[in-house]
Amino acid sequence: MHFAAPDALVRVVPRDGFVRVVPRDGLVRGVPRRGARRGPVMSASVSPLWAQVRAELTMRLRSFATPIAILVYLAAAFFWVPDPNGHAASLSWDLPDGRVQAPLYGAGYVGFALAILSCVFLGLGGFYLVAGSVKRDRRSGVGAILAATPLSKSAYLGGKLAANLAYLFVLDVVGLLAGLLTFLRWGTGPFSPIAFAGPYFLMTIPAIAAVAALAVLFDVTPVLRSRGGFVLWFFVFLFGLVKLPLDLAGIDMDSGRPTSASTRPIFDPAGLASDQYLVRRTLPPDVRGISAGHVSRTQPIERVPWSGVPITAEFVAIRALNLAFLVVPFGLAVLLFDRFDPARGKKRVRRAGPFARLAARLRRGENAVGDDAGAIVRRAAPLTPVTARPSAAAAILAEARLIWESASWVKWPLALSAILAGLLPGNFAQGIFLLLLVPVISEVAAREDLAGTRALVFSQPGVPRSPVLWKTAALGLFVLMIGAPMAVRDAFAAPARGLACVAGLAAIALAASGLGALSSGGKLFTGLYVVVWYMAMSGASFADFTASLGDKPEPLWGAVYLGIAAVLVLGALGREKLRRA
Amino acid sequence: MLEIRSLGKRYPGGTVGLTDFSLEVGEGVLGLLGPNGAGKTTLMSILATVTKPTSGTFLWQGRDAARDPLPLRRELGYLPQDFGVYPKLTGREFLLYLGRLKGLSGADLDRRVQELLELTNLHGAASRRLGAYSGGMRQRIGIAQALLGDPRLVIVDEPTVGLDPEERVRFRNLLAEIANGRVVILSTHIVSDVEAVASHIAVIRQGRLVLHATPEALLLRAAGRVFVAVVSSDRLAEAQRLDGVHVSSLMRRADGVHVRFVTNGGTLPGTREVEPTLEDAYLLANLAAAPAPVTGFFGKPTVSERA
Repeated sequence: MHFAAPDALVRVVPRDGFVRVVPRDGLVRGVPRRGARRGPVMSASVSPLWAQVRAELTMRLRSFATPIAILVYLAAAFFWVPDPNGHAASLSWDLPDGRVQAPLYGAGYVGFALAILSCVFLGLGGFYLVAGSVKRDRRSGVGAILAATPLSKSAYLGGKLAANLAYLFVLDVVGLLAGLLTFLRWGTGPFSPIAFAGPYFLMTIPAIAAVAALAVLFDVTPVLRSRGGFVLWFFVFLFGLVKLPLDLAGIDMDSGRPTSASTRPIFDPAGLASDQYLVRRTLPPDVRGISAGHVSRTQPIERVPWSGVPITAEFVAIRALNLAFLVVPFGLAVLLFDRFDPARGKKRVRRAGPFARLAARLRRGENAVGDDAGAIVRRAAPLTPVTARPSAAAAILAEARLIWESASWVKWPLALSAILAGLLPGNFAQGIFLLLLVPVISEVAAREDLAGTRALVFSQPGVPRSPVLWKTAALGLFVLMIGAPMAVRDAFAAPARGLACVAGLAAIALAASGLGALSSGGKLFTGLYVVVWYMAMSGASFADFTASLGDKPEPLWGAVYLGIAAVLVLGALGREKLRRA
Repeated sequence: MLEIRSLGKRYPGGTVGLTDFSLEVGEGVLGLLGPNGAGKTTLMSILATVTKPTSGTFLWQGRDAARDPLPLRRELGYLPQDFGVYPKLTGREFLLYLGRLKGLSGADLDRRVQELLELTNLHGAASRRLGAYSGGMRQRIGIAQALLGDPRLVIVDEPTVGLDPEERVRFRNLLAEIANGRVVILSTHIVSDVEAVASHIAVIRQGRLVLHATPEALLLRAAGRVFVAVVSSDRLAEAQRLDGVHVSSLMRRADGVHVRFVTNGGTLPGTREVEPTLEDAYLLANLAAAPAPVTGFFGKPTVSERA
């Protein structure tokens, strides 16, 4: 029995600006000292910015989407710069006498060719990799916590912008490494790091900056931040960042020839008008069209020395001006951002649609206006017994039904386009139907991850042991059912086309399931799908996965896409096994 | 009905969630108590067949549920601690969806959903989207889904969080009611919730089962170990840091601060022994085997105590 004096009870350990009171039992009870400086010295604006960049970069680099994106990027780089002895080139031009010339694979050429690829890949696809971080904060509730801190709107969104930019820059450097490998494989002449990397970064940095800022704008704007926004982005990029700058610079989009009013590309963040303009200035004046991109030629290609695009004051000024473009979408984003205040974002309580409300009124005792007040248990009467017969089939049907129910208003134009796709000739209704499928099915495979319902849903008796297979089956059922009119139409045209259409529809379901499960989201599927869809609509037969969109459909491609999608599902099953372990 | 045998869970990073946890649970409500990070949610998640144990197993009605979870899932109603909802679905649509996954259909499903909406007083908001529900309403929809399929095993993890006092009381009554002929496992920090309904209590700490007893046995164990002392305000901080005691409540009065505490030691001079509550008993269960109690702090021993 003794009296324990206070100084014997505790040890005072000053560290990190805190006084730690350490009792003899070893438990630490930290007490911040009044006026103590918290953390290292850093300016008030840089610290939260850096914290956000670090956190976002860490999360994204740990995401499955990153290795997939890098693999796709490296594969694209491999195909983008083709065999110098073949009939394809990633940069070529037509001479007045009909000859076609392309550069020898010097360092300047390889760097510039990869710059064009990076402008397209990181411009279009990079958006799908970085968009959604504000939405994620909103959904997870982190946004509400941040909103209660002194962090300003511009500091928060500035952090998101910087994080987007940092992540895309990492991928940008990967692109440069791919270029280095290409040079090692096929390069000729001495390797000049300045000629190789200088124009590359001058071209790509404004492009990724614009995408980073536009992703923030899409994230905070009510309609654009929905799943439909991911589809819309494709058209914003195509028409707003490719076609419009080419038109403004006086360059014909299809032939690459200058029109009568050719000017400097003042507005060209993505850089696709700038590359035409800058390349043309290095070539003889009588050169006609310039082709940038992987283009196959019927006639032989003459390889000529080309030292690349020199870094001139004009080049730097054009790209610097386009880098400054990021201020516009970022400023708009700051203006539109509601700072996670639900009262600003939501003007009214969202309720079920008119049909659901009518059905509710017909049910006994229910009014359409909810009542939050009152007790949890209204009556103590026992529940009447029910008979449950859980089965995988019932779970698949329930999931397919949920895909429809959770599709908001998009389901109605989807249903209409599905019917029209079975009735109308041509590819317009079919194309619209295949595009409208994207927002409806893109997040199905990751729904439980995104909504936080994993434990609720996966503990149900009917859910098969493999959620990936369950989702795949439900998606397959849904897509095949809603795509049935189109498949029947194709089958009447030719049985092989009907089969190819079914295979293509199944491939869509498998790809949505596989990519959704692998990336825990719907953006990767949306990005890749929309690119393939656009190529199919543009007449590329290899991209016509349902043999319904092109003029000369090749049914075999449906089977090829089905095989690729099956591999993705296998990958998702492998990841599922890892997660369980 | 439910037999847990040496259950263990080690997470990939090396964190230990459960260690050699064994317990037999019969009909009635088992209250699971423990501090934050004790392993309660890990245990609930394993019993709900959402997480797989890394060692040991558990039997439901004599069948190994860790290896074959389906028979248990057919009789399970589970309300996780953190659960999400689909904000674009209405309350009714959400329950119908989960009911279908449980294998309900047709008139049975419609009737059961309607009954549960009424039972949880959400019938008026059934056509409202879940995104517009308040925190308490979401919690109620969670409770409703747990009761969808006539469960024989009901696992509820922190179910009363977000409910107002009246709702809490009524939810406790509901649990007590459905516990007839069923196994209900209730995990919570709120000892009064457990006190009101539990037929047995399990205390878990650092992934291990520390204690399993009836509430009466726990109270009996705490008898003679709960005291009240009056200390001056300037000595309060010292009193709270004393070894061997755990302060359970403080009340400032005119004569000083009335400190209620539990201790593993004997009678303390200068203090008054009081009737234990279940909260005292729980705190006592969490108190590590204490060194000699610090009797001198509160007052000098009386002559009889010295003897």
